Amino acid sequence: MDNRGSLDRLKSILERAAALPTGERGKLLDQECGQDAELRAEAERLLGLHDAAGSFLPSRHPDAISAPLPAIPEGRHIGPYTILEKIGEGGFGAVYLARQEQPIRRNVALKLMRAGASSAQVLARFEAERQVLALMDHPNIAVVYDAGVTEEGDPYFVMEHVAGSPITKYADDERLGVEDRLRLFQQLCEGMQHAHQKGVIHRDLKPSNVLVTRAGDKALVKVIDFGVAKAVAGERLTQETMHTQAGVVIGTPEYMSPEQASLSPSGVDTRSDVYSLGVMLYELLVGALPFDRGTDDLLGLLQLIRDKEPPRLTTRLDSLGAAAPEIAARRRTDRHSLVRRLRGDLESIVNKALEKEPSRRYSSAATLAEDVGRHLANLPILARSPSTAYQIQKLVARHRGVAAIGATLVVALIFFGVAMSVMYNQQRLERQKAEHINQFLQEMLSAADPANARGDQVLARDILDRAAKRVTTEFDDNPKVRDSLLETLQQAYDGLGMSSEATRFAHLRVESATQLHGPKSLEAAAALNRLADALIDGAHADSALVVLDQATAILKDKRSGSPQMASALGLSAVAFHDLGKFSESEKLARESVELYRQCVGAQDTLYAGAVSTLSVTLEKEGQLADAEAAQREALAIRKEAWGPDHPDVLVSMSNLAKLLKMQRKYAEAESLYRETVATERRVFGDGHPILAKGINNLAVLLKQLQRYDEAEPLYLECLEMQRRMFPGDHPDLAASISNVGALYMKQLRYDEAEKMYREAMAMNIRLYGEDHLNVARTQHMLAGLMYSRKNYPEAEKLEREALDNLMRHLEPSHPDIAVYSQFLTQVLFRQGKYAEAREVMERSLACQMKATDQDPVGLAWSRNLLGQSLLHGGNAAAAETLIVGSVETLLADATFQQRWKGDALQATVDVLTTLKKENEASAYRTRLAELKK
Amino acid sequence: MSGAERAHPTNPGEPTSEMLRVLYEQLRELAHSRLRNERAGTLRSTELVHEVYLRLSAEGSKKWANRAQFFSAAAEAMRRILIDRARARAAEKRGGIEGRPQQKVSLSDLTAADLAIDYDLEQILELDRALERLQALDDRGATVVRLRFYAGLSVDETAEVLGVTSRTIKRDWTFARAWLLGALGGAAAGA
Repeated sequence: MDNRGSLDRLKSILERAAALPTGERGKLLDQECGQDAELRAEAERLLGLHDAAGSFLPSRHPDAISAPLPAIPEGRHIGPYTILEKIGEGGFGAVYLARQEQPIRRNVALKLMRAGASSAQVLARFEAERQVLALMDHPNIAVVYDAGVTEEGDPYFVMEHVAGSPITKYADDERLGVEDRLRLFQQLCEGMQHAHQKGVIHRDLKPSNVLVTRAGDKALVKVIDFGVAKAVAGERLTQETMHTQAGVVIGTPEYMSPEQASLSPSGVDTRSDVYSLGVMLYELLVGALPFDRGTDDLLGLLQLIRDKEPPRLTTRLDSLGAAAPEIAARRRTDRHSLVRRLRGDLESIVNKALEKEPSRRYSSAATLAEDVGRHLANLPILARSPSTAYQIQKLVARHRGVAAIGATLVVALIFFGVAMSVMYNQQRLERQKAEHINQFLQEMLSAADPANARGDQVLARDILDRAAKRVTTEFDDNPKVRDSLLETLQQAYDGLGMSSEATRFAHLRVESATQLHGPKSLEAAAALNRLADALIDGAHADSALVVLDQATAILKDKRSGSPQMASALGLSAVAFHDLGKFSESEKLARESVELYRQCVGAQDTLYAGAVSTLSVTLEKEGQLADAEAAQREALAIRKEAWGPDHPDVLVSMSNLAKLLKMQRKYAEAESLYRETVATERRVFGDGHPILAKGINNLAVLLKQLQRYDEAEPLYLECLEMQRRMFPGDHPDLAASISNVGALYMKQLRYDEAEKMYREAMAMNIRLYGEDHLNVARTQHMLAGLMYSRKNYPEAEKLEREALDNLMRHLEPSHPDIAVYSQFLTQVLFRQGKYAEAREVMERSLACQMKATDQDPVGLAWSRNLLGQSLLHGGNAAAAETLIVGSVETLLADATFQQRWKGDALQATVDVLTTLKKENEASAYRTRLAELKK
Repeated sequence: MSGAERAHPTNPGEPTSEMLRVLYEQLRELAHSRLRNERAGTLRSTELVHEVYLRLSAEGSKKWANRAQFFSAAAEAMRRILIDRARARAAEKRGGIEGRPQQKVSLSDLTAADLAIDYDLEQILELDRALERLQALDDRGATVVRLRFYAGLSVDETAEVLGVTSRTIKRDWTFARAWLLGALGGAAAGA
């Protein structure tokens, strides 16, 4: 082809011939090509290729220029539906109101794809929307009834016709107050949560997509038009494409999240929807959007959304000037009251939803709805950090309606009780000063009605005792008040760490719940759970199990109450753990986790608690890698929910640090321990038991890393604290004492060390009886002491007892069993009992190999020791393999003690010398000499 | 606006290398982030190109004389991105890293390159060479293919961009596709 004209002709021929059935092409070619054989050959060639490639158009849709949609006339039938009128037009189709007669008579919304639009992409997008809607099954989301294809071949789908108005308009028309608006909003969140759980992001949430209708006398929220929705997981829905006409942007700009507005790398996920929900909440509350574009300035608006902080609700209301009173009127209030109403919680909630950074927002629609719910119930919301005064304010507000008789008494009790229990968490009770109490009262009074508050300095405990007495005797005729007060008192005692009193009140609350709601009620089961919790805290795990049996018996037959059941399962897991029955504990912990996952979701802190329990049990079973993974999960959830300064987060952090340490990930463990201690100091203050434990953990790690100078002051600080806190026996105190003993050992202060160990052991026996893990540990430490004093027979006796004890309680593959076995072996070596040593090591190795997470250093040491025993038993060849094969691993580990490294090297030298491998032996001899320096 | 311009009614002006560079960067970055963040099975050039277009028009950028120029530059940028990717993947494979088997370009379709696919480098390059030959033969036809495949425009969009009727585009398309199939040696290579 060498000129344009021929080319055009060829194209024209091809076009026409391709549209004909093969049989008729010949005639066309004859006509067009005539005598031009070359032309014909080329045309036929191309036709052949064209056929081979297949048609590129779905045959039903001849490509047409995008024209405005021809209106479908009224009365037209599509399938069983009769078109009534057009009610909307979207990106690639129109929505019609239609009537259905069979099998049900009702009005429906029929969404029809644009006639003439053809590309596979548009088709796929339409289908995707239908699939998305069909996935969902929730009262707050429009239902898809049907789908089909018209005679012309245009696809359509039929959904619930929502005859309603956009949520903002509805709220204004009905002049809904703030509470009612919030409740509507909660419905919206529930619907969105369902969508998110199905893996669908809406991406275009705005009032016109959220309609409110009336169902009877209740308002019902319906989310429609998931047209630009996108599935993120699960169903493989085809990706949608953006509309190409400039100016029609995905998502309506005012409601777009910052990440959508900047098309930035952060990507879009369910939290983008949360942002849009936040904008709608903003609008519902204050009648205006956080960001408005003045003129048609799309760019400017997008930039605002990305960069500018949204104005506070109250500020925004002010900025509306003359319009403000009207806005307030539409909320059935006046301007000043509205400002007061919006200030505080609601501002915080909205701000959290509108955070620029998705990770700082509510993690899901559900958590947003929950916080709104908490606000409505006068509970402290998550969005605000729990300052004491704030919590107390909430408590007073909650109880304000309750007290009939003795209002002042109730208020005084409540704020003293809770204030004290909350304050205890901030610092030690004994260090309170009068000014501090007064300060609290001041803050309290500004929120509550002026109570008959006394300024005198009375000990919280006295107040509580007096209160307790009165509550148990008075208020018989007012069980609800009584229950409230009992709850407060229980919390107060719990906060003071007085678990036996707390238990007493927990018992009373069970009675009270039974009386109020019945013995088989959910409330009774919940109260039993709380009682079990108190019992566990007071180290009465067996009693707790009995109580939990009662709780589960009630809950088993209930259809709802999954959270309570999950809680009961979790508590049972903890109880079994405390009793040392770890496989039972693991089973229940897993059930608890699963149930929580189902009923509250995997972002909830309750779920996190169950996961954390599971982690602790897994640790005891020696499954360290799994335990670590679980604890990380729990930590992440808790951190996300509470921020870094919350007790639960600290618990997770220190559990995780321990797990890391057990897996010899020392650097990470140390930094985590340090972080924990720093936070604990900040949150709890000096002298608090939790801080003491934290310091202790860090000290133990440092000691293990042989950094004794750093460890000593920490140990001593810890012991100091705990002696002050625990006048009598306490497991934490025993642990501290034996840790100091261990430190003295390192410093070769054997007499002092022995004193400590024996004190610790005696305390453990008093607490737990002879047969308990903690006792085993002190026995082990004493054995170590005896060893250092060269009292080997005594050391052997103690270590064997310790080892037997361990094996009765732990899985054979648990690392500590190996550690004890190894130590026992060394003791036996010193007494020349090589044959026995060999048995011990063989057995230990067999167990160690069975572990899911193998510890290379532990294995190496066992092999080395076994090798040593074989060497002395005359089997040098086998010994060599074991010893030489293990020595490098041992030398490389940071925590492996110097003197044992020396032992290992010496053994290497010995075996090589025995085998007359002088060169190799002298290499090791050199290294041994260097080590000793 | 500087830069050489081929004065042909159906050929958009040649974009300057600066414009091309900026566009290339934006598309590449966007593609990278999409691929990294979304678990999507497909990532068509259409999406990316349109997103960037919106972004740029939102900025009120006066740099693009007309849409045609933008889209042809975008097509060029996408082409480079595609080839770069294919090259990178090919290098990986040679280095012994196991990856998914490389996909052939679907010639029966040839609408909108899909970045989520690891195209066969050889084939991409062959397609490129063939397109150049087609360009010599049928300038507009080659442009149509480039706009449709690399920039992912639909038939209607291409028509609008080039200022001709959709029917013309369809005709060009039918011809170009058949011709390319022949040039690439044979039967439709399906994905």
